[in-house]
Amino acid sequence: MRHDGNNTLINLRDVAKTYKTGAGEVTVLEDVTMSVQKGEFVGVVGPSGSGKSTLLNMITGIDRPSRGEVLVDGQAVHKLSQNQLARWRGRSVGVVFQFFQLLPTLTVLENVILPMDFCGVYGRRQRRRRALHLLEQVGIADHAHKLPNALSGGEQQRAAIARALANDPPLIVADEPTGNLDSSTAADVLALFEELISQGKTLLLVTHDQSLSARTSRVLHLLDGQIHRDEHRRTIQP
Amino acid sequence: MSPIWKKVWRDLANNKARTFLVVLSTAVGVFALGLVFGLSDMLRGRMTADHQAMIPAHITFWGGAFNQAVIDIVQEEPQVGAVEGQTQIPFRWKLPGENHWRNGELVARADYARQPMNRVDLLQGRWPGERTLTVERQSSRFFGITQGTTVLVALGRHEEPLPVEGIARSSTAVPPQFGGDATFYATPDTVAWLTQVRDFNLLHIRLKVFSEEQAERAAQAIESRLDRMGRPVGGYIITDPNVHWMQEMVDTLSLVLVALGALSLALSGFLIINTMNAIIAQQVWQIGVMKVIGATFGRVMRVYLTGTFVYGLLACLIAVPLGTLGAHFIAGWLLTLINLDPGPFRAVPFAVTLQLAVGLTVPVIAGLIPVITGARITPHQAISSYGLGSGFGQSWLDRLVGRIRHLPRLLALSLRNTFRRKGRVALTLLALALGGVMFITVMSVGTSLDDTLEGLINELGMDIWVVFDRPRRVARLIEIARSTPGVTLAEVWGQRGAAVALTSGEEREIYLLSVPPNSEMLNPNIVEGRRLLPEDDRAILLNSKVATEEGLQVGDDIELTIDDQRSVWTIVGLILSVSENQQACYVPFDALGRELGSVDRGTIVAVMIDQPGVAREQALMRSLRETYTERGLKPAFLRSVSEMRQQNRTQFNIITYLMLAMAILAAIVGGIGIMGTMSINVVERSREIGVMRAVGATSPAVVGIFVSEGILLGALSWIIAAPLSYPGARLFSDLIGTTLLGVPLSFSYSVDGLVLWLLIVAVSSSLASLWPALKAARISVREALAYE
Repeated sequence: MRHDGNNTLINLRDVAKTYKTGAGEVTVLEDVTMSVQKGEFVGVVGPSGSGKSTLLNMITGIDRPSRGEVLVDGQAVHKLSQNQLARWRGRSVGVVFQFFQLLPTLTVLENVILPMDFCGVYGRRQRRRRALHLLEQVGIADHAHKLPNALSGGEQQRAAIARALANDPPLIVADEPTGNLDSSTAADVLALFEELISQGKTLLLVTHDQSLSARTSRVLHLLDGQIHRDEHRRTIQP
Repeated sequence: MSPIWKKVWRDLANNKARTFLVVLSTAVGVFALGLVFGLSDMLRGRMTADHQAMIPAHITFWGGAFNQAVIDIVQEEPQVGAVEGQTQIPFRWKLPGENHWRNGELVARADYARQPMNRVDLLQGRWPGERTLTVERQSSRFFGITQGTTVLVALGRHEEPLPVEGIARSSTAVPPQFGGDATFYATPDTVAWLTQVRDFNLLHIRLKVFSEEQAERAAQAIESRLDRMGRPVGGYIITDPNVHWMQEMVDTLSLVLVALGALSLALSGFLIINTMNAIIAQQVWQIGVMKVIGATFGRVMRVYLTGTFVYGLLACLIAVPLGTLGAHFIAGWLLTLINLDPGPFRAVPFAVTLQLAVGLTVPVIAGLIPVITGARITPHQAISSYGLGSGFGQSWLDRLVGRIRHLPRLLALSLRNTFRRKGRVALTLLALALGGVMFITVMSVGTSLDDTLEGLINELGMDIWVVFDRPRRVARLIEIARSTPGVTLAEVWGQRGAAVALTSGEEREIYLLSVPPNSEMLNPNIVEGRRLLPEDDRAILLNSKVATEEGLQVGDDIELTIDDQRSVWTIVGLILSVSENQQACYVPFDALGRELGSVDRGTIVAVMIDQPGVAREQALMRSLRETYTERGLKPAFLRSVSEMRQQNRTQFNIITYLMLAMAILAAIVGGIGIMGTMSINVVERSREIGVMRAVGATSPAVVGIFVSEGILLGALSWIIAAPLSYPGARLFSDLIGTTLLGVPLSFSYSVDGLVLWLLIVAVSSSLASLWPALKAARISVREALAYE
């Protein structure tokens, strides 16, 4: 991780993304310029097809912009090769998916250890201990040795959050993390996110859930691939 | 263990059906390799060892009278290491209480305790003594003759009971199981008592140093010397001490096995590629997630290639022991058949090493492209490949298929579904078509071999041969034959050994059979040229094997030495014949008679009888023997030609059975291929099945879709295999014929095989897709639409 001295974690400049489909070229993002400060809790909202997930994919390096620059913690993400992106992402970004995406043949504990094995940030002997600690933090240590299909949706999402935290990344990105959960469980997950913010993490969240976006300190409204409105709130609403 | 290696292991363990398919696909090819190379090594090794241990004679003179004085003189020749006289004569025998006589070979040698060559091993009891016999082991087994059995022997004027006092093993006696006659051993005194002949009729010679050229020179020198001594011979045979008499058959067998083993391995490879493609396709989203959380391309490669390595390891665990056992048992069966001891169980190091090398690397190599393709996938591609997927409509093939109208909707769905995964379909079709080509090729070669053999064994159209020890007047022989009730036709033939002068200055032994003009009992398989005509004089139908090996053609004049007289003959035709060890050639009766100075005399009466069948033949043989004997012309022996046909056929059965086994293997591999593809299709399209069921598809409809796809794949593979099978079958048939008989087989394409393969592929593709289809029908909407 590179420290460039200032407080900006994410910087996007004139980022655009166009896809080629059977029906021709489709522009999903158009001239997006934005920045996110360290410790911010940012919600990204907008109607379907507005480019929310694409924006997140630009930031995490899961997808590349057609043009523009993506800088995360000073790293020009858009210039990295696939292998470099994988290594960088493993250490610098924790990704939480809507459908959890836990590997089905690994236990919950093993799923959390896996990113540590890939990135080598922690020594071999530390990994298991750290993984158990993270599972305790998210409240599912008792399920450490179970396979994902033995857990409820909420428990799986907690496990996915623990995995996202495995290498202690400064940035957590979540795409519809409560989209598959009931309201009660969603509230628990949100509480977890707030806890992470209080620990100094930066969080980017794509959501349709108004109650979720209401809890963020900033909301980016996307419409037709552009930032339609950038709404800052001073406090986090309960 | 790190979680990632646990993932590898659990992915294998949790998908048992798929693991089973990949392992089985690999194991089939690896097993075939082990069988092929293990069997070949065991056979070759045992045959060579046994042959050398037997101390085979280098030169054998036949058709003469050899006493001790002759033996002593020949021993003085400078190149000669050892000489031994032996008698080998046909005779008749039967067990007490039996009605009909059987043909047998009686062998006598001076000293069984000290055998300088052509060793026979005593296994049980004693060597023959005064008026007793020892029986050869295979004859003992085949006819149930044990030590202590009394055998009735008919030879010369005698019919005598002789006790069997021992059992011996000879690796040169053709076993009855392989079409030979029963072999018994006696002393020269016993033979003299039965036949009043003391001299040996075979002279075996072992040279001090062997080479083909030296043996040929020595044989000619000795033959001249014997001539000068007034002891002419019928001819001689040179035997390579390093080549077993079955070597050619085994070499052909090995060729067949290697070709089919290689094909099996290729089939395995295709199946593995297909399955690995499907595994990767199924794991794409997991690859995406791993890359999101930090796995590099190299790491992903290592994970999945380790999986393929484990498949190979599991396959080796099954196939290596099975291949070793299979090779041992088949080698044992074959070796026992040709009267060799199989030896203790052993693994062939080369075969095992090859199996391991191939078994561990082929899955990795086959999986390389699918794994690289999967590992290259970006997280974005991986994650956005959710949903029902597209994959149809873009290519020209899709558009072509899409234009087929007026099909029932579900059938149209099956048709289009079949072409969605073009790469997989192509590989499956390739594997199935290859299996089909293999199957039809094997069936065609079997048919061609059968037809060729049928032609070969019907070369001699008579039912019975009556053979005399010296030429008799034709008119008398025929008149006696025709006076025997049941005889419908009789001809008199002649026979003599001869030598062809080659351009190199050497000579090659052939066997002449002389036939009357317009013989109704000779049906030669003419591969080139023409039949003998009544106006022919010194014309010869030369054996095609001799012609091919010596570069002789129709129209060539060749010099023959017959009874030391040289004469020039014209090759008017080439024949395919396995008679007389592929040395039989046909000449006009009168022409040979003039050369031998016995015009209008012959030694063989060829007889056709009124009713075919073993019983009638046996009865007529008895009648003919009695009739000729009463008229003062006692035959040396009689032979049923149907027995000879059976003997000839039996020799080739091994090849036929083995090819049938390989045909079945091809069918099995084809079935595995379809089952694999259809299973993978079902797994991949689980969500699609869920959607279909959500909009009203019943279980029979879902089953019908998948079974139709399976049958369609099978039918398409047959359409591809059919035209390819003809040239494939032709090529293989020519190869087998050339190796086995010296000329290509008379080719016959197996239409039965073509139709049978269609049936096999239709049935197996229906059955192979039924199980996956039933699995598909059992998937609930909820399960199918939930993410993994």
